[in-house]
Amino acid sequence: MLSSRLLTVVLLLVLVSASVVLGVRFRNYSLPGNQQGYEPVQPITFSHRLHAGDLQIACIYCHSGADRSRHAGIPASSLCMNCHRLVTASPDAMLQEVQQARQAGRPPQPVVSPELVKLYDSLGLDDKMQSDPAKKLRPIPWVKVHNLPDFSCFDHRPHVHAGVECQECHGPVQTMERVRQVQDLSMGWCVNCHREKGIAGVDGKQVKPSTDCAACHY
Amino acid sequence: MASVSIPPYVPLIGGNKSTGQVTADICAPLERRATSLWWFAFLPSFALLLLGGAAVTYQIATGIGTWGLNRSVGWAFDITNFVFWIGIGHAGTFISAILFLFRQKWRTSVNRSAEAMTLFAVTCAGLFPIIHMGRPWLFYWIFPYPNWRGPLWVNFRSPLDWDFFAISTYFTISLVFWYIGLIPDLAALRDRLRPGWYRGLVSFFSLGWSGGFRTWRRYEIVYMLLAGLATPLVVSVHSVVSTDFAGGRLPGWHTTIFPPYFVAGAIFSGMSMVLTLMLIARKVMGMEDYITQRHIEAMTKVILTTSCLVGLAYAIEFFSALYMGNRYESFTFLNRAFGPLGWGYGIMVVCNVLLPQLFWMPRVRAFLPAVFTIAVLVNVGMWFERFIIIVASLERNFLPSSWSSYTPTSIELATLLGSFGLFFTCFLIFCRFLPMIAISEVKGVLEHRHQSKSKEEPSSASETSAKAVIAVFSEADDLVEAVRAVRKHNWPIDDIYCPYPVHGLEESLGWRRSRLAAACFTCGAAGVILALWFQFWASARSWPINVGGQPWNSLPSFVPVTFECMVLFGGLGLVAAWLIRCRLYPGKIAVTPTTGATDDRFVLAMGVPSSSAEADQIRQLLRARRAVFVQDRPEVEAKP
Amino acid sequence: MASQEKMEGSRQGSLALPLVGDESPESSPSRRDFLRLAGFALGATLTGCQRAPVQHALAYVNQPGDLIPGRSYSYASTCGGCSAGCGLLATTRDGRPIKLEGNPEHPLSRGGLCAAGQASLLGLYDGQRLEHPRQRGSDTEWLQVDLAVRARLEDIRKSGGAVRFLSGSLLGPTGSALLQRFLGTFADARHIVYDPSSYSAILAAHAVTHGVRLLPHYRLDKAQTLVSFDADFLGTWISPVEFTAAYRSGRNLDGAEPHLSYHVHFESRLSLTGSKADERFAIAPSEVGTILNHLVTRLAKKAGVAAPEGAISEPPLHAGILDRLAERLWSDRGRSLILCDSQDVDVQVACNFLNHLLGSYGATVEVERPSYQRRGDDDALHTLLEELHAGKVAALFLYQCDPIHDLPDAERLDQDLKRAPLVVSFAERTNETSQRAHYVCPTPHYLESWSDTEAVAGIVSLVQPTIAPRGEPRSLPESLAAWMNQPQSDYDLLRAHWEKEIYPRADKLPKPSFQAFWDRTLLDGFAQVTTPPSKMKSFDVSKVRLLPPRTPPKEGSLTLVIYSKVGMPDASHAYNPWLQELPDPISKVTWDNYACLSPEAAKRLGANTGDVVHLDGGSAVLDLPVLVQPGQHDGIVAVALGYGSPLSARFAGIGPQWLEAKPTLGYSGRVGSNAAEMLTWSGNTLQRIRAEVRATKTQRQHPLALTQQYNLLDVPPRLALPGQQRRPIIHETTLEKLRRGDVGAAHEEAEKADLWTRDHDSKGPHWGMAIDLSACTGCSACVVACQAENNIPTVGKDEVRRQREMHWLRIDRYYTERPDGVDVAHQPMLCQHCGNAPCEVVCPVLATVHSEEGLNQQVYNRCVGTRYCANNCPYLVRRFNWFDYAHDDTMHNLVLNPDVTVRSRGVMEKCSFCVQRIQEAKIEAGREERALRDGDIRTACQQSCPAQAIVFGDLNDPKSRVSKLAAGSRAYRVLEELNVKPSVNYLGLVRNRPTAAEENSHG
Repeated sequence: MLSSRLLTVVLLLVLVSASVVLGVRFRNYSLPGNQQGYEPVQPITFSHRLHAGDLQIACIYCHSGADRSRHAGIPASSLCMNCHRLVTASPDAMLQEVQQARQAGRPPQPVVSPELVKLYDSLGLDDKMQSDPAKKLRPIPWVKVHNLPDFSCFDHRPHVHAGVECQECHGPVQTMERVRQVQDLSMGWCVNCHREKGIAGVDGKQVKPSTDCAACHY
Repeated sequence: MASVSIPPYVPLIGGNKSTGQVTADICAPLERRATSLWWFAFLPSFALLLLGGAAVTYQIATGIGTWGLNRSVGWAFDITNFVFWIGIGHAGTFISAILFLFRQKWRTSVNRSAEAMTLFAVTCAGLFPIIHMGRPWLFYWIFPYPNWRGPLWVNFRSPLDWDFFAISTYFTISLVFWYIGLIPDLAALRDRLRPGWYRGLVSFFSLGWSGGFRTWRRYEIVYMLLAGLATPLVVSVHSVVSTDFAGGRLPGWHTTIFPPYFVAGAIFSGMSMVLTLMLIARKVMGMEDYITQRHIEAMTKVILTTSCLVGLAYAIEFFSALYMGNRYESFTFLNRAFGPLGWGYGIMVVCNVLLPQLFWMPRVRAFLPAVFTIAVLVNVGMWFERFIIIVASLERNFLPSSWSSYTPTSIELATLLGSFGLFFTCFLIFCRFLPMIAISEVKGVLEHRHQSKSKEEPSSASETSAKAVIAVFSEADDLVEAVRAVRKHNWPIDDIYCPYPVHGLEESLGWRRSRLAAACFTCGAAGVILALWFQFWASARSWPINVGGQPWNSLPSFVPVTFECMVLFGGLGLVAAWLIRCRLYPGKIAVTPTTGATDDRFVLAMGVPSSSAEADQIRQLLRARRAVFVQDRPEVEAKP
Repeated sequence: MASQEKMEGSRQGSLALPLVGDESPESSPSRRDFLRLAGFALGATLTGCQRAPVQHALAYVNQPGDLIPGRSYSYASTCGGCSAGCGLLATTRDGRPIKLEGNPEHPLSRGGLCAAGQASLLGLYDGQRLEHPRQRGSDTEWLQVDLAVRARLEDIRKSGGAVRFLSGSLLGPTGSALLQRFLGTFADARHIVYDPSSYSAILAAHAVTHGVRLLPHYRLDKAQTLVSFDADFLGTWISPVEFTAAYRSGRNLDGAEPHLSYHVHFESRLSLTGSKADERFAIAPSEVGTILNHLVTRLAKKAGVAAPEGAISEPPLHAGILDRLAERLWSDRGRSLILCDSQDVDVQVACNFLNHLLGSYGATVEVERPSYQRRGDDDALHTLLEELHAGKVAALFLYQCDPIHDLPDAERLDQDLKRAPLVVSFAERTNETSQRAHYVCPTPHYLESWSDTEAVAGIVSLVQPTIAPRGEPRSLPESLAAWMNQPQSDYDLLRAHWEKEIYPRADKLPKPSFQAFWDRTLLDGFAQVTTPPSKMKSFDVSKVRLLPPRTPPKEGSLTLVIYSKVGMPDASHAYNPWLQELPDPISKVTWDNYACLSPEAAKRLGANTGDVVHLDGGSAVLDLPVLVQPGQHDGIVAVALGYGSPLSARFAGIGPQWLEAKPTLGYSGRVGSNAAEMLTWSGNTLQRIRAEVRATKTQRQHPLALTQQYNLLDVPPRLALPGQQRRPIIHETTLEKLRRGDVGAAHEEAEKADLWTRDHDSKGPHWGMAIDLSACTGCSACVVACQAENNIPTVGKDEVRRQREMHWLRIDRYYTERPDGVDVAHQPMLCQHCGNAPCEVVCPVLATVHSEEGLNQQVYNRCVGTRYCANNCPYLVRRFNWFDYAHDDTMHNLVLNPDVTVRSRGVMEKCSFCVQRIQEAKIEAGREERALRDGDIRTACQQSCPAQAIVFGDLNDPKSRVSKLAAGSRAYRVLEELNVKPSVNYLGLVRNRPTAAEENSHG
């Protein structure tokens, strides 16, 4: 009798603690498919903080599709080469090498960051930054951070055109080393923004964001 | 109406049963092993259930395309079966609620099984709207739950949404109603059973019922209020189901006659199904004394009446279709009768309108094989009625280019059979494990003479420390007399325990009026306000969406859900209030003053006055009122 | 992955820190361990539920300068679906063509593109295309083939053996020129052209009357009175898209003065063109001659020319009709046109004579700038067959043709080919002839290579690649160049030819540089150039004879008429599931060919639709299911070509496979049966008419998959009250009545009473459509356009048979019985986007609701599939995904439009008014900071309609075309009386019937 009552108590405790644990989990991941906080490791440790934050490169410089296409797009490896043909490592590392070389009285060696080697590999370049026909071109397998389900058709163009800041949906990317999904990107989140902007406008400009289903689902 | 037509008076319950015999008779099948006849019925039913389960599994795994539906005929067997089973499910609550309000005593023998049948039929029915969906795993989207989609609520203008509310309310209220009626019987059963898992379960669900009159008194109020709520509910459910069609645009669907027509049809088919089951059950379970000729008479008359109603509806809809001058409407009805599905229309008219007319003849009503055959055929006819309404209208719609034809597949046939399997399996399990006749209610309608009593000698030990005295009677009338006498002396009565609510005590006891009705009203009103507010808020405030050009606040469309919520909240609130007030809860250990209080004993429990002389006077008085025995108790137990 | 790691971690943890009181590690896992593991498993499962799979995004390594991922680009090209040479725009997205549309600037097709042309896109993503050259049935290398072929050709050059090159008409100027050069290297070499559906007699007749073998360019746009004998010019005849566009331009009811050309059609079967005719007469094939004789004598008399000699028999129809017709033709001389499909040269000569008498030459019949669309020469073909039989051919080259399948006496040809020393087949996919070839050279799809075409003299168009070829196909010019030891790419060959031959013919002044000319042509897709002066002689009247009377066929026998189907012009399209599942515009049958019998003929046979009949033509037999076809002559049985092809064997597994599924293929393992065996050689022309065919009913059944079961607007009489028999779905009137303001139907009074107050008026645009039933020919181009645009699956024959076809846009075809035949009406039916949509109200989950712009939206991902909406739709336009329709062919999936969701099982779908195009247009207009203009948005069905029957636009804008049409007198809404407020306006059907006065004066 006692043991069975004890068992009941234990079972109840287990149930309660399981609910608490699951409840916490469900608060974090409220929806199946909700990837808020998703921060995948990328094949190259590209730092948005450095590029978009410190160097203040405009988002649209790399993600040039944002105002012309549905997809903002991921820059081609060739675009990186606009800078990284010369910048082969962090300025600190390059400066250090120059100083070391000066001290040693030798010509400075090229310094190549191991991360940028991956970029050069993808372009099939050899050590001297020349195209190596023996190497195959390989696109960099970036991991998509912001994924929408296939049945919702998001288009960057009207958002960019209306003047919505990239950060409103993507979070303060310029402060992130590795990009993280900040918003939950749920339908309610989209719809609420559409409702609010429909009243408040964007930067004081009147906009007409639609809350029709067919604005996204077709 | 039942008592007029039979010249020689036939008692409602045959065999001149005593109260105790009733308990014994009805509990007997539960206390012995299953008969081979039971297995003979159960195994095929279960096999059908498995067949249906396999068919549904295959259909859900493969796609709804495994049914014979097409681009024009989007519903056929599925919704036919749904409406068919929902219709069947109407008899139970009709019998328990409407006939209760009309004080039809004959209902007592059949209401328990009819209500159980309702539950199983509604279960069968409820399956179809789910499995008929293209994506049944998302059926819960019909329920307005908070979500991350905006939030996006549901379409309260859709008859399917009304259906969801109506059927779930109907099922819940029917279940509660059935269960409330079952509690005293479970207690009676509990007190008869040998200890074991079965008794444990029965005891758990008997909520510690001890037959106290305070509980009984409130029980009767609850029962009546529930009946009052369930009566419009019965009418509403099939009315709502009929709006699945009447709310549509299709010729043959879009008519105002549907709600009453469907309700009549539902009671018609439900009563036929009850009759069918009762005729089988009285044979199989040996209940001829309880389900007598009078019951069958009464039911055939209900069938006859509703058959005439249904026939009238057929005639009216046909006439108005031809008369209104709408080419689509008139075509649809001519097509039903003379088109490709004319044979089905023929079955429907013959089975539903013509055959039941035989019940005008007393000889037919008395000839059970004929009654049985007609009852079965009525259900066949009613199935075809729904099939014709659905399929014939869909097959030949507005545009002749899209006219099509429908043929069921093996999967659909198996699913239909499976639903019968489920129904009968559930029903047979019910017959096996629960009293299939309402024991306490039958006791209440027994018309027996005083019987010679075997006087048991009470223990005459009268301790001075005794604070309570109980008197046990074997006749309700004795109890009533005793109570009147005791009240005349203004002696305090603690409680009265009886196996059924003995009438005539109420006024003499002079207890305070119950406020359960107020609780019911409050909860019902809360349901109305909540439902109205929520529907308005969700449709017009939270996210106004243009649905078919209707205004944001489509108040008339919100009525069905509001009504269902009223019944649901009122009913559940009432029962909850009753359970709390009477301190009944699952697993409560029952305290009865003496054995047999739930069977055939009527117990009066009194506090003992301080003077022993007065106490002796009480004992004297009680003995004089034919108490079986009078006993002193150190303490009064089981106070309400 | 995550779960794996966690499991590992937990196990290590428990081993590293054994708990006090734990059992020894050797013992079996304790309960506690089990619970712990179970807990982790649960956690891992939950993790698995919540984390979507990792998605990679591969960017370009080197960004192509002119390409933005996610944007669609259109390239002007020329359709290679048949030899008509319509201009098209290939929409490509992220490097793959996903849609073909008509090129609105093309002078011939004027923006239209037929069903087969649009569907030819699928050929690109056909997994069964040949990728490598084959030598006697096994894959090989081009080097091997080249070496072997070159060696053999060298031998032939030495020995002087006969080289024959057999092709269809589809060979452009560059290819032809190169071929001539190649053949010129042999002593005895000839290029023979044949068309599976031959027009040889027309060319031969012009050789007789004008001295030059040519196919004239018919100018239907200039014809006011048009008489056609069996010529299905709106459906399959020569260049149907061009003719439809031209025909439409002569029939305009929306101007100030409604105007219709007068089109009289004589035919034995019921064709698409016949269904549109103002007057149609069902005559036996043997009666064509008699009618022509009568017209010739009548018109010769009017022209004051001596009628040709010969006896004349009684006409099969009322003489007054012929008088009236002759009168009409004569009064419209110079603006009238006689067309004839007959393969009898004498009949064609008589037609030429009529055209000559009517002054059509130079006006409606252009012979100065002839058509090159069909160049088949049956005479030459016959000679080739004889040569092959005699074993005189040393090398036979076959270019994109399949004579074994297309010609009668296949067995003989098969044997003959076996004896030929060298047979080389150029083909995209293995066909019956290429199976017997020694070498099979895979040719690229026309969207994968450079070529050109000259459909009509002076209109040359370019075909440019839109995707890199799959496998290693090689175009014909490349192969020929390689075998002439001058290997060159098709682009170089094309450019060189254009620079040398085409550019000098450019007549634009001032003349641009070649590069500018080339760039301009590439952008436009075509160029108009001068033509060399023709060597045509004046009309030779002496060759004209009255046609001899034909003996009527024997009692009890039928005349077999072999025709081409609109959706299946010839067997080379048999691989195409879109076309196989396209309902025939008249019969509404998919996935089969069949024996059309008139109701009377079927009754005589005791056969019903679906019963198999045995057709015995003496030397050849054919078993086919019957289709009862109203409007057809009682003495004929009509059978379509293009079926029974081995290319259709691939459809064995199409459609959902489940317990009761039935196969798509017939017992022969193919779709339909090949009727080519029933063609006959008469003289040296291939006849499509075979007299004296005996039909007997067999006991077998072959159910046909029809998309329309009931064909009339009249309901069965016993099911209707008097006066309510006919449904006012189609408003129909005559030109004469229309001019008096009679639009053919009393407008049914809409129920205006409304339970509801209206509290959401649309202030922005309200999208709507106008569909002109007079213009619509039923050609079904829109159906395929919609299918391609909206990712509509093909479901297989069994599903269609169960009436579950998925087309969002269907064309309803209604017959109206008349004493002298049937009238046919075509009605495109799609979601009407009702303002008071009955579907929306009943959806429990708000999966179909109204947009602010008047669209009836269907949200697939919200749908739970109750199908209530479909039941409640008065137009029956909603389509349900009964199964998970196949999207497992990854190659085939490349054709999917990324702008449209692919629907999953269990959800409803329907026409969205191409909302993806609306969105795109709105976004682009927003980007350019301008308002949307009328015409910015063109739905897929509208874009490709050769007859321009569909107009889409904003009904709230009173200046838009669609609102002007909707306000016109002909406009009506189907089932308007239901007060569902549809957004699709139909413009009533008008026929140019003879006026009462005309009927009286002659009738």
